[in-house]
Amino acid sequence: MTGSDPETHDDDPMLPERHVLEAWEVPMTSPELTDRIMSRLDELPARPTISSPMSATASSWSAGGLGWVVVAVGMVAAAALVLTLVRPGASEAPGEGPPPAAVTQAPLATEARPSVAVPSLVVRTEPADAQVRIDGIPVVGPSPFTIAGLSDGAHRLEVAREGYLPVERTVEGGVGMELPVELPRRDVVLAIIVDPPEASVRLWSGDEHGVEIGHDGDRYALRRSAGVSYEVEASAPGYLPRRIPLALSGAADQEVRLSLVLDPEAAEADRPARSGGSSRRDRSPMPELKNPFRSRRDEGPSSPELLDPFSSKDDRSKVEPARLNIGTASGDPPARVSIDGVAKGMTPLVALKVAPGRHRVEFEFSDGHVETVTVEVKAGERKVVRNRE
Amino acid sequence: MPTAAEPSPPRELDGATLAAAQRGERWAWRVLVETYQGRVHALAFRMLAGAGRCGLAEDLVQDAFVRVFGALPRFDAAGPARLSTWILGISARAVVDELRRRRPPEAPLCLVEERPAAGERPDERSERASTGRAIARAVGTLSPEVRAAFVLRAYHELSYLEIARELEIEVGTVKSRLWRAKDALRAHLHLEEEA
Repeated sequence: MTGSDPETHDDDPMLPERHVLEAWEVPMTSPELTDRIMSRLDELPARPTISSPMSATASSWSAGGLGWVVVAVGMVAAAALVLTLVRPGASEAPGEGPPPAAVTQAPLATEARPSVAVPSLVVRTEPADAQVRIDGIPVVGPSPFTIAGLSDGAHRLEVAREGYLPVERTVEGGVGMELPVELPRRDVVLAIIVDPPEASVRLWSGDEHGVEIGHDGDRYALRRSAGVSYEVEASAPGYLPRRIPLALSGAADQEVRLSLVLDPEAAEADRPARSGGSSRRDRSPMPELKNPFRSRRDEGPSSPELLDPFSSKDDRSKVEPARLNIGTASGDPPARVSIDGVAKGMTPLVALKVAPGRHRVEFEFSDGHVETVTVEVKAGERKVVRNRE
Repeated sequence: MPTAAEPSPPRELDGATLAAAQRGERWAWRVLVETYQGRVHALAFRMLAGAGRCGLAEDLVQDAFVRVFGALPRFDAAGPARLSTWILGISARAVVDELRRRRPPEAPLCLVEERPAAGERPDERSERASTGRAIARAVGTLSPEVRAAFVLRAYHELSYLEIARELEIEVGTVKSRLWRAKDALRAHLHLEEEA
């Protein structure tokens, strides 16, 4: 995205309104939680007093001067050590041992056993033959990689493999854990599924100009770059364009799905005369409103503005809206619903806000027939609407 | 379980107390814990509740603070992250690690005692509780990473940049995860109402 504030992009995933979210309450903490936390902190082992020149040097870290020289020498010595990579549950046969090609200990740790047990970091990578480094030092693999004796503090973990994007993470030392790291594939084939099929799809990467990648049914081979966010945008005449972040799962093939919504101005000009009752629509497939949490379009005076309970940008009219719960009659399958010509999605639909007054609710079933119900609501009224009683 | 009262506006630890905590002064540690434990608990509870393991929330709060104090000396008060954001980031990563480490059996949701708020009718309260359960179930269908992004955004109002920094992901990935959370919420809220 070029120069745009990531907080205000048109395709931000607007979450439900605050009053909806706050319905999920949290219990109070127990009165003794603070004491338990403090007791747990008291139980923390003292900073490892590794009885080695390295630890003595580490303790003089703040002394400066000569301490830095000794530290440098110690780091070289540590890097030159041959360390054993321990695979969990495995035993080492006599005469065998890991190749002395890399170390698994972080700087400032030596062959001297620490005075207190320090948990290990176990890194499980996918793919298993990734290359792992901790603070720049290679770790012998394959997965799972056990890094023992990691000193307290933050360490830089790097995982990489040809054909995949590298991953870097900061890990905390002194706290044992298993860390799964899945490398995202660098090359991905995108299968484009877009409605309407004639819509053109563009791929945006970072600040670069969008590249057209095809139409419905096309496939596009993407070679990803590390640190780049991708977005896809679909557009078609008569429809509102839509742009969304490209969420890549890491699989080699991935579908990209986009559905466009009719441009109300274009739809108003082209809309054929409607008739009530069962009839088969003669037009392009009903567009789905894929973003029901946001409804910011002005539907015009003949079609009251439809408010959505999840939109935080709706114009809050001083008149309290009515709410409709819309479903099909018992025994009927789900139906696509439109209210006053605006598609709202599949049944069941809950707490749809509408302006007080009269509305035309259409139920379109999968066999093509349409049933229409007219409903009249007052301000603040809640009503259940079905295609038939 | 009684529900937490309406939280007072979030506050940050003052600079002097933070500095004391970074020096390892115990009184300052306690003040820090008392200042942030509510928010950390709320984060852990919501990230866990979908798995029905709400009893572990307080355990994870303890784990989180162990990590916090282990890393506290390196926190830069003048840096881009607020202390609350930094603590919530560490806590979220701790819960993600826990969720990925274990495969819990299916368990009932943690239920919060339903008590009407002032002026709230029982039917309104019931509807609100139903919505809350639906949100919890929706979150329960999300991966640990998506849960973290959603809870940090929805309940702790971190910005996309803050979430990206704390979870060490791209801003685009934050948005992608929030889209997934939104889809899950949409599906479950409709289903809950239908029930």
